[in-house]
Amino acid sequence: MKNKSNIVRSSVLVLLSLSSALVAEVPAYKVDKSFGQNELKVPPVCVAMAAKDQLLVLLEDGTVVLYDTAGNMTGSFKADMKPVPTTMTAADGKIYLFGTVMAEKTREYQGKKTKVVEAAGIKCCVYGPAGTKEAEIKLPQAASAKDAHFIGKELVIGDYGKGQILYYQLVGEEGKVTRKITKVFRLCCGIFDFCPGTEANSLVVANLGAFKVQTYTDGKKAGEFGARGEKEADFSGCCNPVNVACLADGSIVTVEKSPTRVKIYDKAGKTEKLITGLGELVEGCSTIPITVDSKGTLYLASAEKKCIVKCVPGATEPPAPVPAPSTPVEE
Amino acid sequence: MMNPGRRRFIRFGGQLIGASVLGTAAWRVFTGSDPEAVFSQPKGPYVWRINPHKCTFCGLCETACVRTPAAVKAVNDQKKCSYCVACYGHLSDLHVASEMIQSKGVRVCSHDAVLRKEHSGGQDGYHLYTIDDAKCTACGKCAKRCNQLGTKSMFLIIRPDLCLGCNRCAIAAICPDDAIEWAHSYPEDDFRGDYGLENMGAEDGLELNEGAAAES
Repeated sequence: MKNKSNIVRSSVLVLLSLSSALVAEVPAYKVDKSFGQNELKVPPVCVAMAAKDQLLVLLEDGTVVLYDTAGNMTGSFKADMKPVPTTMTAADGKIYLFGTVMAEKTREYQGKKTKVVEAAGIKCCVYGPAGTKEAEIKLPQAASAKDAHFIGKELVIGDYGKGQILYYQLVGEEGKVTRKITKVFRLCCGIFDFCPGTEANSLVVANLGAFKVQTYTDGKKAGEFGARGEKEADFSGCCNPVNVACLADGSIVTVEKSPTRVKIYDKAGKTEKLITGLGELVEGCSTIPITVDSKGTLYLASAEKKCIVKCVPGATEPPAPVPAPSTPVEE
Repeated sequence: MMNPGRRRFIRFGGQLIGASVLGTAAWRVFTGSDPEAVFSQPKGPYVWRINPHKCTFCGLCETACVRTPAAVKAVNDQKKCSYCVACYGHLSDLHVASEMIQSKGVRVCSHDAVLRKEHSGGQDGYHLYTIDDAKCTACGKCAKRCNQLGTKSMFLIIRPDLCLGCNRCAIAAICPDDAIEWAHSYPEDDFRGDYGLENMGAEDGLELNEGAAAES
């Protein structure tokens, strides 16, 4: 009987050491909630990473705030564009701001005409780091801009109004649609987020209504993972994940709301890490914009708390207590 | 000199009219009005209406309206709804396994007036949410949660076919948000909002969703 219990005890210990070795591959993250907390008076709506790991934060009123890696504010400017920008991206030392143009349209329903305000197009303005307006780019075929990134040499827009992703080739001050991904996204609650993938011409989309994370290469689906469920690897609630980001090693960071959860998955969609200590960043269905710098530091924006939360990798985390194997029940 | 036959005819006509007036009055007095009768507002271009931008879904409409149940009902704008698996206006706790929502999900509405129907894509696919107006008492709980936490597609309206069109609306008198308006019914309706931003475009709508459901 004693031999049997010893075998059980040793096998439990081997399993525990194996699992801790697997977990150790992914760095622990230290959550820093003091980043820019005292400086934001207006809710942030978008975060983006510029050259030299300079963090750009777009506020609800159209102000762009620039931070260095230490969290010091290095500059800010208020974009003089109408409509107020809702998303942004940065490339080649320039800041691209996008706003959705709303237009009043007349619709007829059961013989009754009604006037409704609808998203009718995108306005894109290009600014220098000092806030000087340099250009205005025409982007046809899109109804609204919820997210934007440069992938390769193309500007890619997430258009919630038509539920599609558009690839634009920029020629001068005009964008020409080269391809689009459409009729595959199940969007929800006005949220549409994607990020550039680590492979060439790839992007990762948070298909939140379908509870999936999907990867597209050259506009074609290359893979997906995720399902609605109760397990840690699953996504739950109304619609999740709301935001995604990619790390340099190809891992995918997913951000969920209600409750706020940040998880890191490997390329195959296996959960590697759950970042703890974030608290509730938003209430209900709201986006939690995320961006990653070259060192793998995560920056999350909370419009409700008016703050930026920084998650630093490689920080020492207290080792999880290894539970002592319980005394085997005598048979 | 009046013809006796003519006089008799006029007298008989008067008696007939008087009897019918008295009979109708007696019928109304003894039978009373049907509480479930569907009324129509006086013909005119103005109606009592809830301004969705002012309404905070406090729930006072439920008891303030002179009608029981109130002429106010919750509705779900299908153009703005995201057809989620789990809906804030339907469930109190959204962290329920998909297959258990219908059977064990705790409802927001105490009268179970928010109806959920599978549309396409299976249990994790698209679901249509409608309000059963026969059960709805205008408590506004579903609309409040949908607007605070969800896609903002549910809201309260004063149904013109149920509203008596009182000169002084009892709800307007106590509404803390001043959301009840005596407004022109044309050209705007209650379904105001930024359709394009909140949904996938009125033209595409469900057709687009079906494509996505097939894909997922």
